[in-house]
Amino acid sequence: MSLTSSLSVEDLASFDVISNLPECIKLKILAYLPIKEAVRTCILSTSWRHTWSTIPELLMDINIGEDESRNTNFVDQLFKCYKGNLHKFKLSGVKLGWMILTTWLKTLSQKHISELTIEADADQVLYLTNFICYCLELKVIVLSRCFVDLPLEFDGFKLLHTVELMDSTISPKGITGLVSHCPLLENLKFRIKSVIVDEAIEIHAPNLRGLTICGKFTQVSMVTPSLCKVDFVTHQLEATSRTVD
Amino acid sequence: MARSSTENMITLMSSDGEEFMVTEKVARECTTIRNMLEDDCVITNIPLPNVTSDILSMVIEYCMEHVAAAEKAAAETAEKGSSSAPAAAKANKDLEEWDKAFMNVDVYTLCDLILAANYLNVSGLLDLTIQTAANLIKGKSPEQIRKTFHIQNDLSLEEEEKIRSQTPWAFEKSE
Repeated sequence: MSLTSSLSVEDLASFDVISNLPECIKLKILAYLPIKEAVRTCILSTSWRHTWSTIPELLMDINIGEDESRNTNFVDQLFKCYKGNLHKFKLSGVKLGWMILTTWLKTLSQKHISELTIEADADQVLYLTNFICYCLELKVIVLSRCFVDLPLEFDGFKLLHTVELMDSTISPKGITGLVSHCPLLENLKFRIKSVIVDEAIEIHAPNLRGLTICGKFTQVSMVTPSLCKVDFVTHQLEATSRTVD
Repeated sequence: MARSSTENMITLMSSDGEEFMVTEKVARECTTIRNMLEDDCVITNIPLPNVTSDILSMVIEYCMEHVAAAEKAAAETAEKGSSSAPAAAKANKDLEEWDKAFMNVDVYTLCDLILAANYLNVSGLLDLTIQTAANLIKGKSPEQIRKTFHIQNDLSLEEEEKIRSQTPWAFEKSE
């Protein structure tokens, strides 16, 4: 398997060792690079031409600018060239409008996304569009500084096991609905920025094992028979817990 | 490294016929070998036709260092009843330093180590080598990357232009 053992010293000096690695290993290397640099490898040689376009994880950690039309182009180009199934997608430090996010989520749903992280820019609250409801294969959702308002008729993410909502805005009813429609939910963590209405949160989750709540809530009622770790950091909390165990 | 006399020894044989005697514990760091041992527990001689002796000796060196570090940490925990956080942090840092020095190799050795770590399924070594390769790419221009890895650019100027025009944002100067 050694790439170089049969080569003479002269051959070795000019042997293109990295391009001859199996495609799956080249993809692993690219997965450690910021998105721009990973894409840029397409220009190295013919053998690198399409490698980046099947990376199973894309990490968008760059600020692509505030110009909305420019951002839209960026999205279009990225997804036009991208051919793989995207398991993991992380977006952070990016200023995004509602329109762009809608386009992205639509495409991500077609690419069978299973882990989605969106960290909105520090001075922004991102309105999470309902298109997230089409990403039915989601297992992990991590959102920061997002405004989440899922439609009441939404049927839930059947495979979802982990949800983190940090500094985000969601109504107590929204949390109650999300939790009750995700049967496999094991980890739930939320730090809520503002309370929309003063009402009780109900957490009915048979498989929930870890729960962290930060925020101002008047009442939290729980039916969580599998719960083994819970953290409450809250003000004015009146928890009526019916936790078994 | 302290070795109990009852510990099983395994012989690993490289593609060029060299034999390496290691403790079963060290051999088990390689998931591929661990699976073989679990399937057939009397096996003591394992030929590895895909790994040369110089690369295999490096893989073994890595596994021994990491087994020794884990044993030391376990012994300290057992002695004091609980592990002290500063000592554990220092041990981690020492191991990181060791890893870093271990990765001071040329690109050929690095790529051979990646293949061996992948074949033998040593997840720590695979992560370390892949990360090292990525660091050699990070922050470099395409021309610099080609030079580092001896990549022959077989694209014509027209083709290069065409590729650049498909994802122009990737080639903009960094902000």
